[in-house]
Amino acid sequence: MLLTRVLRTPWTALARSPLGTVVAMTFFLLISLLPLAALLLMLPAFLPEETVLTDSNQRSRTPWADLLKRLFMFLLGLVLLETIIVFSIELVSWMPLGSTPDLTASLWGVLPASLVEQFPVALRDHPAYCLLTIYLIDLGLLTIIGKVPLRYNVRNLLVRWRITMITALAFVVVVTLLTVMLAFVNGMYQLTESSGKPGNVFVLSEGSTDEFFSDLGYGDITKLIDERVDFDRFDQPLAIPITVGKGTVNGKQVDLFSQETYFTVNEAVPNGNGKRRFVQLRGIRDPEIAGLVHGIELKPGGEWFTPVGARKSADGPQVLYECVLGEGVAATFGGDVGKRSLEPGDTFRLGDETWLVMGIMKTEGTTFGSEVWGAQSLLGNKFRKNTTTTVVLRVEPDNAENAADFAYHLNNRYQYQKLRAVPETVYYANLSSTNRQFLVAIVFVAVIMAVGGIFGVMNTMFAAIAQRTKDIGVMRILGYKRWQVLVSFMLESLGIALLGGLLGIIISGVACWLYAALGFQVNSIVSSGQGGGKTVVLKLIASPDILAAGLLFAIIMGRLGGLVPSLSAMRLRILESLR
Amino acid sequence: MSVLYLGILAAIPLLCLMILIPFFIVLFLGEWSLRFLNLIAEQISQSSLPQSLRTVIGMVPKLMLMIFKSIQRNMLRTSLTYLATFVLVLVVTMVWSILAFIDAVTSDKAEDFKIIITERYQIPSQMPLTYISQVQAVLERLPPELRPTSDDFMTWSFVGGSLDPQKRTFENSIFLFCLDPICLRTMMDGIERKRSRKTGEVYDELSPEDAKAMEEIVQKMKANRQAIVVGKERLRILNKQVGDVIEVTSFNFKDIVFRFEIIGTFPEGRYDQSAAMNLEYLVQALEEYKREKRTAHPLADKSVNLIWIRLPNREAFNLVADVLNNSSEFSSPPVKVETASSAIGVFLEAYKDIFRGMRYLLSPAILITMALVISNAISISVRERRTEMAVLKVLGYQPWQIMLLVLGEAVLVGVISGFVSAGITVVVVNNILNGLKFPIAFFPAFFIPKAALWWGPVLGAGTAIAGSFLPAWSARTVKVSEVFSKIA
Repeated sequence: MLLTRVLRTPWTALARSPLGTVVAMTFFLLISLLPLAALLLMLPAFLPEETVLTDSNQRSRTPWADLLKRLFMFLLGLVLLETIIVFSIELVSWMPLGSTPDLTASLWGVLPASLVEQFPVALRDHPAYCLLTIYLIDLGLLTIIGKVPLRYNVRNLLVRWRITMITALAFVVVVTLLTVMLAFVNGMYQLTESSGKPGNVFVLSEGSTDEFFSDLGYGDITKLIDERVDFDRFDQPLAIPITVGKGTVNGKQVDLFSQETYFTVNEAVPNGNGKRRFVQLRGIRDPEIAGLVHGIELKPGGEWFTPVGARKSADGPQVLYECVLGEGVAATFGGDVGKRSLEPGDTFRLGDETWLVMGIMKTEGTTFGSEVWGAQSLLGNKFRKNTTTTVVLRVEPDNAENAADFAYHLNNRYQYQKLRAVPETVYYANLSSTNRQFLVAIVFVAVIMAVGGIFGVMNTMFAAIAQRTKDIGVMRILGYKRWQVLVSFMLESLGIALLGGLLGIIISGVACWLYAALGFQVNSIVSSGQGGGKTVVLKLIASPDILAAGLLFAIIMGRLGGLVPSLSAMRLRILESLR
Repeated sequence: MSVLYLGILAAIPLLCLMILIPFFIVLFLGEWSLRFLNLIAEQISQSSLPQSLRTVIGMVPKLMLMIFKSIQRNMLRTSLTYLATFVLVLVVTMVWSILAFIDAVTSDKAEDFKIIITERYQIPSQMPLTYISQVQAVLERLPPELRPTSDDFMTWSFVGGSLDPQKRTFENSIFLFCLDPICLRTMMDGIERKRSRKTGEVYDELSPEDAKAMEEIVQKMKANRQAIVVGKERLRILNKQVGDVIEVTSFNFKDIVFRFEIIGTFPEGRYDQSAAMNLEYLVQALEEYKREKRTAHPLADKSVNLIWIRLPNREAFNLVADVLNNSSEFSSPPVKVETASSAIGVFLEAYKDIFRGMRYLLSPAILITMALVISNAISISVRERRTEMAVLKVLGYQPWQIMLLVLGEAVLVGVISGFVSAGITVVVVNNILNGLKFPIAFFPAFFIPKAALWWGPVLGAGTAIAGSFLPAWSARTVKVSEVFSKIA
């Protein structure tokens, strides 16, 4: 008897109260992102008069049988839910997506790290693909199980094509904007990730978070060349000791050890009406060694500057400062003189001196693209910074683990000078602090805009349902179940979302590609967030995971916007709808 | 934190209901006010005023009342449109606030024309202490009407350091402006007393309580060289409070350890993450270093980073710039003179593409989305009410009046949602969140200006008109015979 009372408690009375309405809406908001096909399978557990797997509903003889039946349907729904999720993740793990986490993986930061570590690798590293696959599979299942002909929905969208287009256009705008903004942040992340070599160690003075604040001039930094590491960072003996690596320059063996001075210089923009800009300079002791260490080559037709760093001009006594330029800064300076980019042999003015471009570095995708490299001694005297700020060295054997061990050794065991050594990849990864802040801001803006889009599609769907109330009544009379009516309207909403989403990612993908192809560049700044920072030139990279994220966003908007109207359609009573 | 995010997600429906409350109140009050006005208008329409005037006075409240009633016909649709417009205006308000602030700091102000003197090329600028007196000497040579007073002069030296030299982190680091304490109230943006050049009136950017507190801080710093004032947020991060004594190992003035006493905090806002110390203490520390080490500190002749001067006008600026840019007195290192706005502009140059994106991509996209949402809602409304439009025409309403009705509905929803959204944004961002924390250069937070209170309604009205124009035109051209033939 107690069981019967519990099962027959008038939940609907509670749901009809204002508090109940808010609680119900909150609940539906939270579950609306779960695969709908699985939720529908669970429906008979809560609404026993509904059938999903059978056409007729046979009432249970006893309350226990009723309870068991409900439990069975609930568990069946859970099994389907898990199957869809597991299958999707497995499918994504088979895709050749690479081992590097996508940009969208950063969004797992809202969850505890210990929980995220439990996720399968595919879900952890490629969440956009996994979630998109889950929703597409769910969409496919809904299309299969939804008995209401798809032609009905397509016809309705076509008949009301103006409203459909307006709603889809809102999706296009939101998805395009989101994808372009994510492409920008993606460009920044790829820049910081590809700027470092795994086997390089970045050495700064103690306490410096950035080259800008570093000063290694208080000791003989060249002692590092002879340093040998016999124990790893866990104090275990190494099978092969780590030393500074060797390379070959002009047939001679050299140490892969580059002493550098990083400057930022304020200069007037030529013909800029008094405008000024920052130029990033790097004073290099030996440019060929620096090129080997950083893995940077010159474009054909260029050569490295001489160790002296200056020469007399061919047509007079003027002294020309020799330099090589990153591609980004070469384009910026080229723009000053009406050229696409400066070339070897061109000159420009900086710091009241004339500089001769000896070569252009192949620096695409690295932070060095915004830098001017010149002779360390010359630049130091010119700009009053006669000290080494940075040492970059390549370890031997050349790999990331050894770089980490060498850095640990320099930080904790090196006696001659207090240093801050980091593997170069870690140094540049730390510069992603601003990237993360931009990403959070972008997600915030996108979510707010999505709310607007969701309300828009809700409006459309509510209006569609209001106009087709009789259709719904007729469908019910013909034998379509309530959940099939829900599926029908959900498919309509998702159809609009998919249309808008696909158009949005096509437009944004083409726009980003065109922007890069036409030679436009985007300037930004990367920083560790504790002062300093580097101005960088980057590309908008609308990679497949970004486009997948855009489409996923559209589908989520469609689900959230379509669920509540579809539920209201589902709840319409036959007689009321036909009246 | 994830529980917080889930909580926010779960609270969205509740938030939506709360946001709708002002809308319902305005609708209720508006409708009943218009009913009252309508009664008065009916009385006036029977008076002896000219016919045209009586028609207008009679028509306007009637139309307005019809608009109010029409939008209440389908409260669900109206509410959804209102909510969509609300959130989109919220985003645009925040974006425009950031852009407006950037525009303000990068444009010269006639009332507060400040210039900055820095080293010509190197960043950070490092000038010798002797340049202070040399610059002051140059200023003395200006004509009296162009000459700044002692209150119009300030120097900055930057001192950065950590409370734990063995393990420096963001949480135990502090960045200090090293200056003459008086300058906190005469020259520091955001906390200074200002004098109007036109009227000579002195006004304060701070509230009376904050002004009084800052005056006390200045006096204490003058009396005690080791006294510092710290921003509230930085104080919280350092886990210290007013009255504490701290030892800061400087990372730019190497081998110098400062002992500071925290005697107060900056007013909330711009300097939340900063601190200020007395320049005399730095000079004293450099002299002590020289005595102990028998050699000058490497930064002894590089300790002045910026020199600020408030000048009356651009003519004075040109005179000062001409001397400083060309004088041999300022050749080692060479200096440059620029207005404060252009100096800040150089730092913001790296963000120009981001600002361009915000101004020309993000804002228009949001406005277009707003217009589309409103257009969607109005189109649906017009489509459903074609019969009503036909009946109105039969009753004698002109097409332009019907168009006005439809436009009026959209504008009403747009204006109310825009105003409420802007108002809530101002209160929440400025008073609860203490500004928008967006990573742009050295600005810790951005605040929403009061002008946002008119941006909101204008945005709402503008996008409403843009979005509802075509549906309103379609309503205007409803053919009575076609509508009634379908019904028949």
